[in-house]
Amino acid sequence: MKTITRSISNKFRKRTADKLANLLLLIPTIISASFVIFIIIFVNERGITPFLAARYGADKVSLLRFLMGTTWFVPPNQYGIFFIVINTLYVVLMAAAISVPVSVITAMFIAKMTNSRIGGFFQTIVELLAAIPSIIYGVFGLGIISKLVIRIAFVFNMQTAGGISSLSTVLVLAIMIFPTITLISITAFRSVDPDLEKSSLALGATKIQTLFRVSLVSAKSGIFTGIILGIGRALGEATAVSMVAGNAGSGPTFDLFQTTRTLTSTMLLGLKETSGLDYDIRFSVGIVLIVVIVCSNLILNYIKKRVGRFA
Amino acid sequence: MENIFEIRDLVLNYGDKIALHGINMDIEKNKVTALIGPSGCGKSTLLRCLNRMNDLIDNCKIEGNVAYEQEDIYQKNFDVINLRTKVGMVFQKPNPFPMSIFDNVAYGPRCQGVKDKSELEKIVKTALKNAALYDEVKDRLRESAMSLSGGQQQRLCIARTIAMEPEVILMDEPTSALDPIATAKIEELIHELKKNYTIIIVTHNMQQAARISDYTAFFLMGDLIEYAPTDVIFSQPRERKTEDYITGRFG
Amino acid sequence: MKKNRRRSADKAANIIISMISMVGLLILVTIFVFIFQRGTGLLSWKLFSGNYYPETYDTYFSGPIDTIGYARPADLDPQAFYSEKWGIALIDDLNFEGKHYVRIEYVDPETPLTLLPDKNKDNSYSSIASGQSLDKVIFTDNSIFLSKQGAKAGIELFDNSDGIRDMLTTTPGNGIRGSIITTGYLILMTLAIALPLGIFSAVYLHEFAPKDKWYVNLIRRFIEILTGVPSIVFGLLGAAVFIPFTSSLFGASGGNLISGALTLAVIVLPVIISATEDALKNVPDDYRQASLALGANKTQTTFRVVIKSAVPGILSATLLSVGRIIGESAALIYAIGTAIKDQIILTEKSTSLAVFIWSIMAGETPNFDLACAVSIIIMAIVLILNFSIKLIARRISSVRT
Repeated sequence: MKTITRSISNKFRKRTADKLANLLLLIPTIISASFVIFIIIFVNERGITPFLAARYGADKVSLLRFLMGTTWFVPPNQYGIFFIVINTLYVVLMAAAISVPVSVITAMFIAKMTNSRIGGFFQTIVELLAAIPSIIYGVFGLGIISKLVIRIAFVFNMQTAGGISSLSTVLVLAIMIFPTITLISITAFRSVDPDLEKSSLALGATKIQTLFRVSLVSAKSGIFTGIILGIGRALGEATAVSMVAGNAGSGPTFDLFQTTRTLTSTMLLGLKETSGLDYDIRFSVGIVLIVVIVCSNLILNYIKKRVGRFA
Repeated sequence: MENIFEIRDLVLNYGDKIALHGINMDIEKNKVTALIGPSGCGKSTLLRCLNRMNDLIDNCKIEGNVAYEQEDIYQKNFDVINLRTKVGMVFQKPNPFPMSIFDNVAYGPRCQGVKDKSELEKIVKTALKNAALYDEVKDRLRESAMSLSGGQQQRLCIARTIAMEPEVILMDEPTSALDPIATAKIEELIHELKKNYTIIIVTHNMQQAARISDYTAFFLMGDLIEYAPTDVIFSQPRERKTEDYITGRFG
Repeated sequence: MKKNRRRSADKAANIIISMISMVGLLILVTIFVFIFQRGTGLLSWKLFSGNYYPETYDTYFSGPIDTIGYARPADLDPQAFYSEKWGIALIDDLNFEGKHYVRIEYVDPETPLTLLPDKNKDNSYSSIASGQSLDKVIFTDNSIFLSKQGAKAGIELFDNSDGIRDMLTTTPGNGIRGSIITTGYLILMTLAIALPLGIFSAVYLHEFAPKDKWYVNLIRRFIEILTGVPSIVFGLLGAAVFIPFTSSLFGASGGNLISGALTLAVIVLPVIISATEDALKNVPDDYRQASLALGANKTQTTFRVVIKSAVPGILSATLLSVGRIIGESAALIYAIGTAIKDQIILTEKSTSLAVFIWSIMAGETPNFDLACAVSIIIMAIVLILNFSIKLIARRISSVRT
């Protein structure tokens, strides 16, 4: 007596079940993939409206003035985004300039200069910093960093608007991207071939010389990936930046003690009481933000390839 | 006939595992000494004691005396870095740095503070010539070292070591990752090098030991079983165990 | 000697490197100290269960008040003034803006004040409780208490009167119950959307999709791109797509919790997909072979064997997503809005804990203490989640070996 029916209909049922599953599972997959398309289509759609006479008639914003302008005032619709882009790049690059050396050295320390217990402890601390949500960094920025900037400004005999300044933004961003860069750099350092380091030591180099001349060089491309990710995060950071940047109406701002305005802070500030053109223009800013992020990614990746060619 | 290394009662353990059980031997200057034996017998461990690379391993404890040019290298406050500039090491797997050929060879001198460009160029050229690599790479010194073949990379590592002008070159199975032709080239090189350097080579290839070394030491499970001129060991070994190993009865 | 210079250079480099590496530790400690210093004072059950918006009670008590009296409790703040006749304690204090007010510090559980008819509520009952501010009292003998007179004067007036014609008290407000409930709803709804969507997508991509077909790689790329999008752009998506969508479908007017959940689902989707795919990759092929060799088809193999082994990985992805949801602010500011509510309705606006912080910090008088208190709560949850993820990861790797 056969206890397991191997009937033909059973096999057929099984095969159709597979075909059905194949088809059914494709649906959520396509939905998941389509969100990117939605973002591109709808954000663009909304973001183009301020420039269309059809929508806003006489109030429409001139595209040229938008792209080249250096002011951002609500009435009388003086929207210019050029200086905001400069501000954003300035603030992010300054933050990277501070954060990258500190992160790489910290990563070198954790990965190569301590035993596993101390290294693990410090790595956990960095992981904790990575887990803190941006709103809390904003509160920290407002509560501590801006007060710090007031003191620094005092030393230099400068005035600030209660610590709300370009410098506060730079410092907060530097702190926020530090864990990202550090964690990826730790992995990069750990994947350096230990034989390379042994060779260097065998040639009579000291540990520090080995770390900087061999380990760091070998970990270059991994570290650069971390930097790219950190810069991407800094460009897109919204809540923390909005809390310490200020609301500069014109620019660009290179003075560290003055208030500034970034793409993301423009999108967030004043959201509570807006509608109509002032609301839609934020989508236009969003489009510019996406373009800036994509371009910077391309440029940085190109640089990474050139740098990596030497390895 | 002077001794460059004098090893007395060297005992080494990793944690509670004893790797070397009291080694006594003298290494003669400007000769090639081969360390042979089955895997795990301690020959690589002994080699690494000679330039204190074992320091890099946790809970590695050493007792006994290793004298380099009559000075105990394990004494307190001994300048290890300086030792390594005089006792160089070539590893089993060729591992050039991810830099140009020139930078690889110039690495050691640069770390010691040599900055003058013409001086570095002279050092690099000499080292590459002495490693029998110069003619093959003289037109592409600025290219990445990773573009060389395996055998060339190993000769580059040898050049890198020679650039430091050491007195001793330690080699840990330098040809085991190479094809026969590259191996032959390196063996030829070793023959040339011994005029100016003392070479201590670990090899699991007995024929290689017989071909290139002047003295051979046979190790088994952390003990030095026999140490004698090569032709003696391979034709009239004194110990039974040596004879068994050489004739292939085990290992 | 060159050697000595190099040695001291080395030592100096060592010290400098160690000091620079302490910066990270220093920052973390500073953040924690700051948050705890300003926030712990506010942590209490009232914070979790109270409404955000203060309510004013207009109560009265015709009398008579019993003569038994109520004993002053031993642990009462020595600065507080106490009426044994009424069983009420008053104290002077400053609110978070620095202005003086009189606070009810203690109300004896036996006193009639605990349940009084409220003119603001059509005479249904309100409870006078500690924490409320005492704004104004008109006693039955027509004596009047105003808060500017201070706590001591207030107690004297109470002791001299037998009945209350009008007592105006205000609840402290600044409670986060609404935001906690909102956060809970968001987590549930987001996971309900994102988990099936993500898990099935990952299953398709890893188990069923034909390898190396152009459209499969395209789909993968599109999903990967999502990880690089900053959250505020997801907020724009929510505002541009999900708000109108939920308006037409659910009749919501403007931002609402459902549009928020949809937006959050898109944000956590790539996390779930990639973690699930990783988990599926780590299921040894032997399992699949064995199942197929027993005559099962692909669907049965996948759902009965493979997914079960991938559960721990999916679990960590879920915890990671919860952490992301709790911490998300910019996207929700666009996708829902910043209106703090005490009554939570799915088709209306509300704030999650993170957006709550933004809301109270954005005005002219930022409430640092409250912001820090909520930050402590968020950090505690994030820490527990991260710790659990690490535990799961350790269990996965130990099972594998």
